[in-house]
Amino acid sequence: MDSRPPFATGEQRLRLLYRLPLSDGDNRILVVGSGADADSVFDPTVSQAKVDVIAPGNPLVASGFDVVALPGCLTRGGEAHSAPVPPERLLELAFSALRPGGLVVGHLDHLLSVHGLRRMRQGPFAIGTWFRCRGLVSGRKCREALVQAGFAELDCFYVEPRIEAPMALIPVHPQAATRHFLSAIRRTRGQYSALGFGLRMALARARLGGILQPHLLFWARRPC
Amino acid sequence: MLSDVLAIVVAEGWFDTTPPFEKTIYLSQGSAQCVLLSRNGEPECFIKFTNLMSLAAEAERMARSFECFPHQTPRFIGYASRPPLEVLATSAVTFCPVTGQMMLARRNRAAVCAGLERFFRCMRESQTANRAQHGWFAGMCEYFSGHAADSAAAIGLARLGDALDSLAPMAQHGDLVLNNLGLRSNAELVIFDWEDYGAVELPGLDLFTLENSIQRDLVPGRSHAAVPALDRRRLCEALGLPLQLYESLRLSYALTFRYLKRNYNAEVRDRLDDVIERLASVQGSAANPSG
Repeated sequence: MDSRPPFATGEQRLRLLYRLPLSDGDNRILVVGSGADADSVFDPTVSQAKVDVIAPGNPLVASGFDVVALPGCLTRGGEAHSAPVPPERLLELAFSALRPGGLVVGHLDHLLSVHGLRRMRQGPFAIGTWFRCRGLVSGRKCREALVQAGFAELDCFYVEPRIEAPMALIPVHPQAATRHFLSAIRRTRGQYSALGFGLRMALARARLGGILQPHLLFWARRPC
Repeated sequence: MLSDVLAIVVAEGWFDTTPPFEKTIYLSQGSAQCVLLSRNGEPECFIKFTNLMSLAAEAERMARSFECFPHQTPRFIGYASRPPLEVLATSAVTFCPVTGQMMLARRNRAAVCAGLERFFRCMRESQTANRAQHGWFAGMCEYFSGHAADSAAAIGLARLGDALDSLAPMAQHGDLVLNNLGLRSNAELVIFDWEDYGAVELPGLDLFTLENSIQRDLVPGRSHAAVPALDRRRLCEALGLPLQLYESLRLSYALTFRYLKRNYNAEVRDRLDDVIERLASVQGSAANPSG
């Protein structure tokens, strides 16, 4: 191609994921998490927006935000000095922080995936996190939780291959996801052994290709 | 950004967003992103969008490619610019990706080769009338003048310069690699990613880049070796290019491809530099067998 720079690193593509659902007028942003979380999803040097940060357990001091971002905090265990916050509580907080028509965007571990189930082997703390977040274990559950929290116009995606360096967002819609996964596995045929290829194809055909995706990303709006 | 893109798509009448639909979003390492719009998993519309660069030239190339190769190109739907957003749409195609591995099967290989032969014949028929067009070659010489000490570049450019007058200019796809090929359910070949179409008019370049890509997929790191999957003689004939001339220009093709990829990331450029180095050493030892 004649010109293609700048090249987006994995880190930049993560920020792009969070910019995708935003509109021009979305200038007041609340990030639920740490300062580092906020920097990972909104670049303060290029954004015109004002970004506030709140720790997951803290009470809201303001509302009327255009955007609330939940970068990874829904399925994260509690920090060393604080108790973990139930994900339902965080979604309620996001809802009340948003102006009508405002946008919630976030990513979380896909707990009903090979990656999520593997995490349970890390010990009782990980098992506790898994059960605390069981209302968000899959894309379908995530959609249900968002609806239950009052959100509308929602989209939920598998992040491929992982949130740290995303390359694609696959809708959790079974037919669309299956079509994508079958094509992606065929395209990367050379990366797998015959057994690995066969297993992946079988999973995808059984509409279970999503269990190989370690992260989910969603966005939704607070109804006007 | 995505809702603004979809608003443009709706305003242009390219896709009806009233019935439920799904979005599959493809991120790139470059400036533009893509979204595939489907209904119940059936792909309908493929949208490329960016707010960092113009897609006007690419839209023009895609429209032209669809005119020249209507059976092998996704239908061009339209292009719209609402600064800073640029959006272009093509119809989405249901296809099976082509890989080096699948090219080893006779049936698939036959389907791909038949599609390529048709593509090359169309290319030959739509060749540029004016033989005096080789502006890209001047740009290429200028680019490689920074590599003056590089003997491979010097040899490849000299050979290309000598051959250019005898070659009819033929707009090339410019990035004909496995990733940009698919087979429809009726075994017809479909070719994607026309953003470099016509950037160079060097017959045989597309065949070389595809051979290189298949070889890399099958045997990583051996891109100079013969590719058993393609019938070169037949494909060169479709292009109207003598096989011997094609073989003698391999180093020049590699340089041209490297030139087209000059703005890609270091990994891609380094990989092509390796190909050039290997081809130069192979051609060097062929020219000087005693050495």
